[in-house]
Amino acid sequence: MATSGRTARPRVAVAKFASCDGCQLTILDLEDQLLEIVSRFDIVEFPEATSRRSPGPYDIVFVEGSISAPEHLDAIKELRKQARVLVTIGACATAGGIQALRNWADHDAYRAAVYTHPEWIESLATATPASEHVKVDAELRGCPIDPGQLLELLTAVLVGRRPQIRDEAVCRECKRKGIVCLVVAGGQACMGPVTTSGCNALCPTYDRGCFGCFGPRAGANARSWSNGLLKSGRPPEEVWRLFAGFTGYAEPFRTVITELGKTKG
Amino acid sequence: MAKLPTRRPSHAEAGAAVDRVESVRTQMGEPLPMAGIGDRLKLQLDNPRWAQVADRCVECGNCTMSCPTCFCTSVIEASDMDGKSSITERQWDTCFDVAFAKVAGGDFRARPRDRYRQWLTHKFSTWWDQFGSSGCVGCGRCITWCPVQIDVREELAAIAPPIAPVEHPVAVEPVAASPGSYSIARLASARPETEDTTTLSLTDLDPAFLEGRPGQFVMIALPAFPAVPISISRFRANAIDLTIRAVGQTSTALVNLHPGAKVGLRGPLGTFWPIQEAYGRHAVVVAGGVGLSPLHGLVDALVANHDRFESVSLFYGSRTPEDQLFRDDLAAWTASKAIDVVVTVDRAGPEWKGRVGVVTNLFDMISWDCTKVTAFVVGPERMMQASVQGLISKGVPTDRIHVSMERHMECGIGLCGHCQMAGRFVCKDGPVFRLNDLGDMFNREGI
Ligand SMILES: Cc1cc2nc3c(=O)[nH]c(=O)nc-3n(C[C@H](O)[C@H](O)[C@H](O)COP(=O)(O)OP(=O)(O)OC[C@H]3O[C@@H](n4cnc5c(N)ncnc54)[C@H](O)[C@@H]3O)c2cc1C
Ligand code: SF4
Ligand code: SF4
Ligand code: SF4
Ligand code: FES
Repeated sequence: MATSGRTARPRVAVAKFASCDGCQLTILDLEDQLLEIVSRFDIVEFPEATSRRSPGPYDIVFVEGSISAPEHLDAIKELRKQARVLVTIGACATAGGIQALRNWADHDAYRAAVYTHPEWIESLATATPASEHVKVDAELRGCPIDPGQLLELLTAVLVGRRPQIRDEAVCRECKRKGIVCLVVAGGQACMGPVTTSGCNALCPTYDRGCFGCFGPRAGANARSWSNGLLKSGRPPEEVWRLFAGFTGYAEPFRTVITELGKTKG
Repeated sequence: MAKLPTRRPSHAEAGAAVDRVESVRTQMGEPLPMAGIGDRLKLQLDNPRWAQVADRCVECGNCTMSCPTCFCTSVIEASDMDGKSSITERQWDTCFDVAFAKVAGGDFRARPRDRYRQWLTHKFSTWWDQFGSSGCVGCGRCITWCPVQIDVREELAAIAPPIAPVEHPVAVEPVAASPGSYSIARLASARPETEDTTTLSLTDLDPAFLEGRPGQFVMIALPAFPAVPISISRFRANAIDLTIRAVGQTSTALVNLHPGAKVGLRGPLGTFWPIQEAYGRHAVVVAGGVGLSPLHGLVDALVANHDRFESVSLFYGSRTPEDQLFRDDLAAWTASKAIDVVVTVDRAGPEWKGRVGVVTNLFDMISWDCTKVTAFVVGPERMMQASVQGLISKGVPTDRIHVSMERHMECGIGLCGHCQMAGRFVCKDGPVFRLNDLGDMFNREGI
């Protein structure tokens, strides 16, 4: 292990559940800051980067992925015990992810449709966020997470303050960037009004309505927004699909999806 | 402009311009009856329609972000990983933000209806109080860009039907001395007051701070932490004291500083206690908890000039004996005989020999003619409310009661909009207010 003279480097572990590893890759993508990060943090567990294993306790545990298989249930509880601070990263860990769509479907039928030997697959009937199982201290949203927010979180840990991560509509980022509203001017469907910011309005910047991958913002008025979309002439299936994305299992999107599911039959 | 190639418009062009304006005017349809709109809205703060429109509003903020007169901003401190240097970035923000009016103790506009009401009443009502004009220029952008088709004209017509306008004097007060840039001060000493509260003595100051007045505050900054407003608790020969309760990130970092540390200060900011108004009268100071801090400098001044007042007294309530601030000063004030100091606690162990009960119980001791009382009150909102009611019921005139209000502050100089309370910027029109100047906005929910 590198000895840098700094004695109290926080011990950091990155753990993975059901996920695509994209959030872990975002950590590796911080190329310009990686040296700074590893000189200040002792990254002892990081499956995407190294097969080396190190037991806890850890100062910070970043959790990627949703709780999706039977063995995850104990593993997340054990991680919580080993973690001083537990941070969930990405849509899967914070909201259940795209795989949480099975929570509205017949799990066995899905399994049978996808796998030749469904009996070999051990999975839970639901995919759930870590917060349904253990206490979570902080969340980084997005699919994948935003490197700037990750860096801010690490900085905040070192400096000893709360991360300055805003919880506001994506619309605000559009306005600051001077992007003409895709809904009002372009007639597109967009999750921006109810989705929390952090991506710097990535999709609207490329003329595509927000997919909602950062999940519902604090106080999101999801019901009014789904009513608004329906009133603008969109069929319930389309509005359902809009909410039932990467973060559909997070409230209040979950309620809207359940209700729309009933109307669309 | 002079460099642009310009020419006078032709007769036909000038005529076309007039036609175009006229055609827009006709397209706009029935004009909104604007006469007295400010007063009409003030009468409708409890209209149930606020909740109905808030049910539709998705709080995207598009209306405020596209309104040409909206000025609200927030600040983030972007620092390097060691927190040694940081950049203060100001960005556009909106009162629709869920944390816009939040302070450590709670949220002044917690419900969507409070936030929608803030937007509409600010544009069409309280803007008159602040700037002497309407906050709406009539561009229609907020209507165009609302994704759920909320039309401010419809809302205004439904919420505030026409009434006869009331004449208002436009009171745009000059801003108190308020430097916009930080100067560096050095921490001379840190003195713990209670478990969670510490008094910092700051020295090597810009002389402007020493000329501040009791009741004023400073914005204090550390690299990498958001700046926070803190009252000046005491003026010394070459130093000012700030008494800070560790309730969150910045306040905790401040109370943990060691002597010699450097901090950034802006100020002194805001209004101050009008001491002269109590000359020849009974000066009554009512403090709850850390509320004694912004009153400390006032008490010092009252004690030093006690012969100018009919009498001087301090009623101080805290949760427990351990939560009392400035215990040495309380003893010294008592010993000076220049002031009657009466303290009480909400609860205490058997070793406490003093009074137990809320601070308003102490008002029963007042035997003077209350019409001759000038009162200065600071504490948690609920305590202020009860104290003010108690004083009024004893007969203290509302224009002789002065209070200091707490609001979320980021700029301290009337720019960011966070501290607004109806038609007032608490940072520059306050924090010290004469009670009757606040009217029924004092402690009103959701303002
Ligand atoms: C005019 C005035 C004078 C004050 N004087 C004193 C004093 O003498 N002693 C004292 O202990 N406290 C005082 N306060 C309250 C003090 O400013 C807050 O407790 C402090 O801002 C909390 O910041 P924090 O980062 O420690 O708390 P956190 O809970 O971490 O705050 C979170 C964020 O909310 C914001 N915030 C929370 N409360 C306030 C607030 N009141 N104003 C502005 N922003 C806020 C900040 O942006 C902060 O980053 C005063 C407040 C005002 C308005
Ligand atoms: S119509 Fe008035 S309130 Fe609406 S955006 Fe224009 S100036 Fe602002
Ligand atoms: S407080 Fe007023 S100026 Fe600020 S965003 Fe709201 S409506 Fe606009
Ligand atoms: S634009 Fe419409 S939905 Fe958005 S905050 Fe304003 S009133 Fe609410
Ligand atoms: S604190 Fe910015 S306007 Fe008052």
